[in-house]
Amino acid sequence: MGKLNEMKIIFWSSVYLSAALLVEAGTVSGQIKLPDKHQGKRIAIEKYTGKISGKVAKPPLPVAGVWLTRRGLTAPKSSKRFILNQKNYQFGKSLMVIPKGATVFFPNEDIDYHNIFSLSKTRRFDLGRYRKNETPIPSVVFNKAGLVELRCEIHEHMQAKLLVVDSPYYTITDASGSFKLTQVPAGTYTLHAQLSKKQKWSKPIQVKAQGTTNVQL
Amino acid sequence: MKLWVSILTSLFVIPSFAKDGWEWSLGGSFENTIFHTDSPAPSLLKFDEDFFYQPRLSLTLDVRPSDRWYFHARTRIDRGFDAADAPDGEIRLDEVFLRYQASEDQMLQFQVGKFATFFGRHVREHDFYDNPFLTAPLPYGEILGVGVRNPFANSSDNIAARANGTQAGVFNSPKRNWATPVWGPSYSTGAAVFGHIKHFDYAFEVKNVNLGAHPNQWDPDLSDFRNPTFSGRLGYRPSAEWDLGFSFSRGPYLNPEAERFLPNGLDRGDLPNTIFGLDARWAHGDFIISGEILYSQFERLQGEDLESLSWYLQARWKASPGFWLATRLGQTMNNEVRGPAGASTPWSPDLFRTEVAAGWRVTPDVLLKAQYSYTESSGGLAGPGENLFGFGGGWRF
Repeated sequence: MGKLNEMKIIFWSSVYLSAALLVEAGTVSGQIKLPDKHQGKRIAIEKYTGKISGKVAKPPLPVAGVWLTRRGLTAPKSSKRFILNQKNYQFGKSLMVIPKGATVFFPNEDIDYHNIFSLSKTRRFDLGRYRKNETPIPSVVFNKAGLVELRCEIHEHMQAKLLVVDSPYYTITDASGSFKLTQVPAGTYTLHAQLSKKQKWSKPIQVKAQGTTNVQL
Repeated sequence: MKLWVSILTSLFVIPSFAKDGWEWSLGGSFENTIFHTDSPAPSLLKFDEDFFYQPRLSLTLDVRPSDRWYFHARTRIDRGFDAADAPDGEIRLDEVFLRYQASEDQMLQFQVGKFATFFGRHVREHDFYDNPFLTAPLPYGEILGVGVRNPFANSSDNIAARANGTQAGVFNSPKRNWATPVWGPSYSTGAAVFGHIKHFDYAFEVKNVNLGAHPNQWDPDLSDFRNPTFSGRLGYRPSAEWDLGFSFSRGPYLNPEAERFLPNGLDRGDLPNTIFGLDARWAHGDFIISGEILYSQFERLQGEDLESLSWYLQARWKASPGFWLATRLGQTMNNEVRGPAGASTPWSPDLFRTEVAAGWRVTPDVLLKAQYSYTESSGGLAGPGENLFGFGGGWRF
């Protein structure tokens, strides 16, 4: 009987959520002022030989993560999968936003080793040395919300960030700082944006049932 | 003083800059290491107190005006690169070089200035944050009984006198009197050509002094290029796991000051030091295993050559994120030469060293390390102290 009730709740919640998305969903768009260059401290150079066998790409441009929170709102329980590759001795993206519980795969596309690690409190891990086409592809599950700073133990210049959020509404800005969140049910939220450990913003917003809510951070 | 305050302040205000293709960054590190050893201290350390404290502030400047050019300079403030050589502290320019990349694929690159040798494997990992240990492995971090300030220190008479105790032993006289197989990173001065082609690496360098020369010989104003040292390495990386190399070096081991003691018609170049080295590294997952073997030969004025074979094998295992354990074995074996009475006489003690270390990377830029080394001497000569304890912490900015 208990299980039946649970299923009923899930069913009606889904119906309600779908209806809300279709009928009372709005859009949040805005702009964040971002730096125009990679913020890493170190130049991508091989001072002593043996670590880089190819051309080093320019680091990906900085982007910020954006997400909404409100009381009772949590990330949907699913095992979403994301990919953050390493190619030409750089991370594929400077920042990714993922929901709590997601798995991130870290494929190496260079002929030399990479060794991605994080010593952030949100998630400490060390993938060890792994090569191109390593199987299984090294992956990590992120079960706690917060910022995860990623580094490569071999290539000091490589830096990226993961923002783990406990929300179904999240996105990243483009390189100019523009962002758009769609299909957001009407209501009062807190809009969060984060670029790095120190550069973060939050602002209460009212999402309209229809139309676009503009936010400047 | 004001200059240093300005430099330090600028590091926090403008650590990096990029505009119109120009990139530059200022950075550095601050390491504090404390050693306690038996006497005489092993591992190129020397101090009279129970403990030796070595603070080291490094400041680096990297400039890349285009994809083809790179300039690097590193200055250090510490108590001597040869630890305790400058007890009251000194400022040095340890590395300063200009690099030109002739081809986009890194097949051909040139470098000129004062820089670490391309010989072998350890030097690429000698920095505090790359070396799992606080000290260099045996072939890069211990003296041999080869005199560099006077060729007659290597005569059979003097070798016999040190062996029978009528002269101070190698480990009881200043380090700067003696050669090493390779003195740490050997930041000597010169030019290099290097690059890689598919799975192969190559590097050739010509520098002012040989690889075993004391740090006080590395600067260009203290030696000259009349008798340069030629070194190189050929490497093969068949896969990401393996890195194999063959290195060589040949150059005079005597300091310029020894020239006045040489018989007429001879110069330092007539008494070369030849080194051959093999190195290998295997790594995967949480393990890195690497090792080197070096054969070193020193020609003397008279008598047999002094020959030394040294090796090390080290393994690092990452036990958890940011925390590793490491162990290293090393050995130096030397030939014996005929003494004045015709008897075989040892010229440098044979050494066997066992080391363990642990490292904890507290943050990506803060590292703590601890090390214990045990050195056993044999071959009939007194060696360095047996026990060495070390603890160090470093912060990169």
